[in-house]
Amino acid sequence: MSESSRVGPRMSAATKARPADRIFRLLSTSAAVSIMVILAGVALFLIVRSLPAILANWQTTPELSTGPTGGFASFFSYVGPLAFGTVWASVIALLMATPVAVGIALFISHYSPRKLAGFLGYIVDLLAAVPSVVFGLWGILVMRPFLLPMQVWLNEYLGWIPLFSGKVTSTGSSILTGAVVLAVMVLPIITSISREIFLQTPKLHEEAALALGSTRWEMIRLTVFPYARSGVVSAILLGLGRALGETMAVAMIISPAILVSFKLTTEGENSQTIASNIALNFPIASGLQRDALIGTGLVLFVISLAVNMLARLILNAKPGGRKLWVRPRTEPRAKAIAIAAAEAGAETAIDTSQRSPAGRS
Amino acid sequence: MKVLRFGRVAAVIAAGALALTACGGSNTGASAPGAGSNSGGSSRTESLSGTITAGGSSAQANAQAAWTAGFKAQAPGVTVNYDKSQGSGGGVTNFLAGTYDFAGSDAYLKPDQAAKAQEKCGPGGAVNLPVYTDGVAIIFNLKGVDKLQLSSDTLAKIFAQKIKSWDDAAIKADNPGVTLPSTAITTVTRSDGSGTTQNFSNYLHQVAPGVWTSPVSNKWPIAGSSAQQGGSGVVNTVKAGDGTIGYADHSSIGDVKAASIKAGSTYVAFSQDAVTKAIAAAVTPAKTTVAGDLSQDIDYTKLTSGDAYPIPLISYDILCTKFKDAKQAKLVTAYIGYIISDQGQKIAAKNAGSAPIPADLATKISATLKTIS
Amino acid sequence: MSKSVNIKDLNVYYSDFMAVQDVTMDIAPRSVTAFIGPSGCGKSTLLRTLNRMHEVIPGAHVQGQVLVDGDDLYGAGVDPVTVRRQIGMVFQRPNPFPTMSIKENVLAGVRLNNKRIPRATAEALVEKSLQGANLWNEVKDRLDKPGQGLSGGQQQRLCIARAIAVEPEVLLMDEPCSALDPISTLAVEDLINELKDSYTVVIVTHNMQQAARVSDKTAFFNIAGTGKPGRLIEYSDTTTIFNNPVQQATEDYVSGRFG
Repeated sequence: MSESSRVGPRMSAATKARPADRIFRLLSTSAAVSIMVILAGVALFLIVRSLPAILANWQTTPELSTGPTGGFASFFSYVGPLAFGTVWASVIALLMATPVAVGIALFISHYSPRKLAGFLGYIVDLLAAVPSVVFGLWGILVMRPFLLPMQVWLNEYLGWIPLFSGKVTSTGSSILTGAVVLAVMVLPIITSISREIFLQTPKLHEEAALALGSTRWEMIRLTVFPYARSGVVSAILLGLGRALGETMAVAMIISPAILVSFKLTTEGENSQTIASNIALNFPIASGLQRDALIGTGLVLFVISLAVNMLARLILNAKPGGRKLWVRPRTEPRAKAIAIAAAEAGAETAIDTSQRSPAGRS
Repeated sequence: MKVLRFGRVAAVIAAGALALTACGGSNTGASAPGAGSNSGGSSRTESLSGTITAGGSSAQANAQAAWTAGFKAQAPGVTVNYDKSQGSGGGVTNFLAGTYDFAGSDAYLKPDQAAKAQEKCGPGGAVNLPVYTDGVAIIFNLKGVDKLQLSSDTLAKIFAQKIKSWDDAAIKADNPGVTLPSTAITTVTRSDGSGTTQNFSNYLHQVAPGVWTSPVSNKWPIAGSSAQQGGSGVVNTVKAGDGTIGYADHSSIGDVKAASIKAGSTYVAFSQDAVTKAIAAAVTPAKTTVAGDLSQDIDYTKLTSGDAYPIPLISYDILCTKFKDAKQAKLVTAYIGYIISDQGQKIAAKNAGSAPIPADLATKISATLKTIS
Repeated sequence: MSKSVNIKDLNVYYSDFMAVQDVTMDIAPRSVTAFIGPSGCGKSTLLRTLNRMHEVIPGAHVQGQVLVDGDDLYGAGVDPVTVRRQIGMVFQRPNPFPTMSIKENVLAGVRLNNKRIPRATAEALVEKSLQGANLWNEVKDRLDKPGQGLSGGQQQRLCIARAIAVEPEVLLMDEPCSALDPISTLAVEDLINELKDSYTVVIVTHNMQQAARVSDKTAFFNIAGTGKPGRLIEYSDTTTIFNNPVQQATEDYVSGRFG
């Protein structure tokens, strides 16, 4: 402190902005502003384009009472089942993906030998790079026939559970098949974020648990899970974000109908998702029908936005109670990085040397 | 993507083949292919140059690829870009916005669209030209059954999900002497909006109004079927399943078995000839205010002769009666002229599996083309 | 409950690297033994081999024996988890479980062994352990508050309470005061003095005054150079080590001439 007061005058001179600094600041500021503008532009486009369809009387407007939008009383009775289907398919997928993803992440972070961990992490990241149309084809050609006998079995023996009731699929194009493929697609996001957070668990806490005589599993339960809980929840929500918007694979695999149905093993009663419905019907739709489809897109936009905001809220919610947009400073920083990386589709390679024996004694 | 690329390769090969035949033709001094009703002979097209931008109906896609390649051989200076990713709706939307020289569409312009076309094209409006005809094939896969015959009533019952198993009395009655298993019927339909669906639901609505009570729509109107994306999705799913039955453009069914459909008192199998005959017999000009417009309504109930395939479908190319640029008008009419020429229709039949349009329809289109400037 | 520890011809390796070479020493029950020496001399590593905590690092292994009342920790079929339940450890930096209350922290180890303990037993145990760690009076009114709300010294004593709640036979302390202020350090040192009435305590420290204050016997470790293994140079009564050590290196170190 006393040092800095001595060199005070010189330092204040140095704080004068230099041209390069100013230019860079201008560039980065405009980049930051442009993303806001783009987002606002997208929202505005969705709202402006969809308003005519949302406000129209669907029964008396000939264009809306036929074709892809035919048979619905209003925009809301059209988008309702679609919104339900979107969330339902994603939730089923997450229910399947989460245990597996957390399992893989734990295996990578706490069980596997380091070399295998690196390899596995690489494989999981590779999975994220597979285009969704490939997953769609895989779903149609491989998973549909593969899962068909299981679905017939579920329907036959567990059909008394409403989830498995109804006329069982004979081609495999059920929401269950779609959800399995969707689960594989969201697996990398949940896995890599969870893995990052598991790896961030303070060594100190882990050793505390081990020194008390906990087994590895007890150590994980005692220290890793409590530490990573909020991070894993937001990883799941980010996975949900991806599942909600997934289009191609769902459109290719699931045999859709616009209705609300919880049944998992039928092909006639699968709730359609918003994204898939747009993809399937946009080409044939005309004028107001397109506006209606854009309106469903607006609903999807709102749902996704809500899920992402919830993810951030949970991530940042610490016992201290931080504000939504304040980036936490200490430990959660790693989570924030992991999130940012996941959103950018990239991965922060964790420096495994953190876990090396160096510096002991 | 793969399919698309394969299509391109096929188109290139077709173009090569055409170039050869075209050379042979001029050497022997024979008349230009498709002379007669054809307004776009090679002698007139060789000097043309420019770019035609179009898009729309994916049903036409394979045929358009073949036509584009074939036309290129005749008019090397002309490039045709047909964007099939837009679908019929997108084609019309882009046409009405003025970005397309013509739109491919499985349905002719509706009154409100025709009104919008007048704003874009001038008081003459736009004409719908039925350049592409094909049939809706009823494909099935049922263990132990190779040939299937269906009456329109039975077909409607199956797709309305009123018949649920293959050994139903109605199906038995259509197929005397065939042993039908008790397998459950899975109807396979399109999950995406489609002109094929529009045609097929229209057919069911006309021939079996008592059974088919759902609306005529380009989106399959009843839940409970196995809905698949695209014609190829339907074909693949029918092929992979057992007890499956679906509908698809005949051009896309590959080696999957197709049922014969009852017309009058006989069951007619799909053939290009039978589709051409069906179109000739069943179409009636639709109400229109545009001179030269050739919108057609199909009256399926007229198809009782026994040599016409009962479920034909028509796809249109839609263009302005008056172009802003006379040179562009010449380009487009030359291209459409090529499409409806004997050669153009044969190439589409060979490469896309479509049925040639009836001669009198070609003559009418040709007459309309002459009025476009 | 307090047991002796006998280290025999012990070599410690991280994979191929030998970290500690050829240590033999006997630690008496109910005594405080201090490990001192310069950084990197292997004293912490050796401490960790006494409850097999070094095995947390992949590739770490030992040759030789560590006998606790005659039972070899590294004998065939010995489960490190069991070893750690009998030999407690306190770390450099206080590490209470952040999501747990003070009470739950104390009970964490006990809960591992025995999931269901009667409420009364649990409360008695919490009081006893916190009393044992000289913390009871400071926290008895806020047992349900998070352990992380305590000061550093209190947290460290909470960790000691957590370690002694499972009634270990030996208590290992790895520089327990290095992150604490002098007053907290004093509190912990006082506690160590009391603990030796019931436990065998082994403590690693960088602070020679602390070693002199709390320990009965002191072991001095040194290292010949970077990449060389640490060795036990001299092990004797604390007064001997600090007043008239046999080895020159020991004298140099305790008199502050190096290290």
